[in-house]
Amino acid sequence: MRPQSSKGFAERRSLFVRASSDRMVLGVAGGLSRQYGVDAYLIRIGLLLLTLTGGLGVILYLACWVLSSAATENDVVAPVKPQLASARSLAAIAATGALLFAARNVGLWPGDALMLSAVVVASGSALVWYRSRDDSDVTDPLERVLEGRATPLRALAGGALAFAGVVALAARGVKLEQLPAALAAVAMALAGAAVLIGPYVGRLTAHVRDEERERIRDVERNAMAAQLHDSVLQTLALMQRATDDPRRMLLLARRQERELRSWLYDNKSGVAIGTLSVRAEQIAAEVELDHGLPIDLVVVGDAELTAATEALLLAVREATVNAAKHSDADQVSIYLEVEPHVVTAFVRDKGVGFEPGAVGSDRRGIALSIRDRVERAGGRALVESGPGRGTEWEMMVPR
Amino acid sequence: MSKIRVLVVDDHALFRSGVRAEIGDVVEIVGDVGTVEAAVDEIRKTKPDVVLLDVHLPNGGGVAILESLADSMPDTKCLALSVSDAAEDVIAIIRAGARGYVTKTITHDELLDAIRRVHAGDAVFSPRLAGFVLDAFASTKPVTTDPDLDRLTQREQEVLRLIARGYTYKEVAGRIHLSVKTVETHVSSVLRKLQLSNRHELTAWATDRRLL
Repeated sequence: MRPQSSKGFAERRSLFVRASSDRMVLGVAGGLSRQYGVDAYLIRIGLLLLTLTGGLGVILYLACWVLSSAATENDVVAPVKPQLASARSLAAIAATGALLFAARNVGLWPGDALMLSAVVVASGSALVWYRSRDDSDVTDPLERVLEGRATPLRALAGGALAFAGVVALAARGVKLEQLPAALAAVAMALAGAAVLIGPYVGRLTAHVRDEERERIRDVERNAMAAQLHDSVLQTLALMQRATDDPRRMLLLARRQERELRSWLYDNKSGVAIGTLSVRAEQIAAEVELDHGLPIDLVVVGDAELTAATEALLLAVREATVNAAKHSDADQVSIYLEVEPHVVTAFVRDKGVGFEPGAVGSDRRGIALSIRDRVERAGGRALVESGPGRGTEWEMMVPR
Repeated sequence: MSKIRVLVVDDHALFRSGVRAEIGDVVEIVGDVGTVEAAVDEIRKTKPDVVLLDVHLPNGGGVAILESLADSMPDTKCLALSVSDAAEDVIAIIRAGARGYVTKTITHDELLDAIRRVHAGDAVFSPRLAGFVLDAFASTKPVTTDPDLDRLTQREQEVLRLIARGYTYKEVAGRIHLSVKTVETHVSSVLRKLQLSNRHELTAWATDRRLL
């Protein structure tokens, strides 16, 4: 990626811009990284190594600071996303190596063994900590390091290198009998580090947990909003247009109530789909919707659907539709009871009724078809009616 | 005869004013409140004959009100009113002491009838409540030392079935050749069993029912 901040370079007469967003000390490494597309951690490690060789790193760092300028509001400070092994990074490594070599030749050198160990340990730590590049919107450097994904390969390689460094240190002169003391010192150093960054890690995990919880809440809120929008708001809109038709308003409200209730209660509790009671609810809702008549359904017990109970439910549906079409009643009551060996159904309206004995009437034809259906399923159906007395069907099939 | 004094407890102001408008000229509405705390205070202050109680209220619902008034207001009867007909809500509020349960879709004549009935000390069973009770007593086995409380008599079952089928008390009476008074006695007896039976299966049934 081409660094954005180079635009202001000519006017400002500075090598690069330092931003507060990726600052660890003065922002020099971050600025260099952005200007030249080299990872900031690579630069920091190089500077650290050069510092160990008698202070060359500090001098370079201060020089770069003088040659750079702080970011102003106009600068677009885009975080850099260098390639893992870009040519620039390799160049930075080579430059560091060359400087180290030069330092060694002019005598700024604490000793081969110490420097070698330091290089190995530093590379090991860098490899373990090295941040994967997929999400770089986190700008806090320590957070970036801690949030870097520790892939098994990286952890293994880094761990091996760090171990090699420790072994090199030990081989440099730590006697076997001094090993416990040396290990204790290492442990203390690690404990110190843990104390230093522990709270930070704790805050981070809490932060992540909170975000996760917030996300789940958001998902649920969105699901509910979608449901309410699709159902309740639509119905309310329809009802506003139906103010002159109370019956239609009532129906819309009833349908909505059913829908919302089944969404609220059934989905969550995982009611078995396809049992007798669920199917009966569906049938009642369908007829209510199609014919605009409130239907009061009561189910006692429940059972799996069989061919016989399916037939019974279809007969119930026919009887209910029949009542809705012809009875002029305000509502229809359906009662279903599941007993150990039989399922009984009652469909009742308080409407105009009919004469069961009369031949040729429309309702009689339907009555025959209801009875037929139930009898074919091995059950029986009785109808009780009379002009002005309402109608009640009693049907029963074996389970 | 003086008008029945009614308190309406529901957290929806719209519903409260609706009830007021619908039945306010037949009964005396002594107040309407929307919270559990206000309801308890108002009931102690106005001593209504009948409380129309919403099952679902913030901070505990109708059950919380019934529990905090349990012994102190023997003359105040409660009629539960709800859009929810989940079995557990209905059984819980009846066991907490409500004298009946009707859904909010009830017509205004039926509601007045239910209020009168509850005021007179009878029980009000909607078809759905009757269905729940039949289901509960059929699907749990009697295990306690008081089998009378754990079982419905043949007659009681018969009455409940008819109510569940959509029969009014009067129609039930006509159908099985009893007086309306006798039907009311049977229903009240069922209510007593529902409230006093200490089978915890009854509560378990209500809770499980949604998971069937």
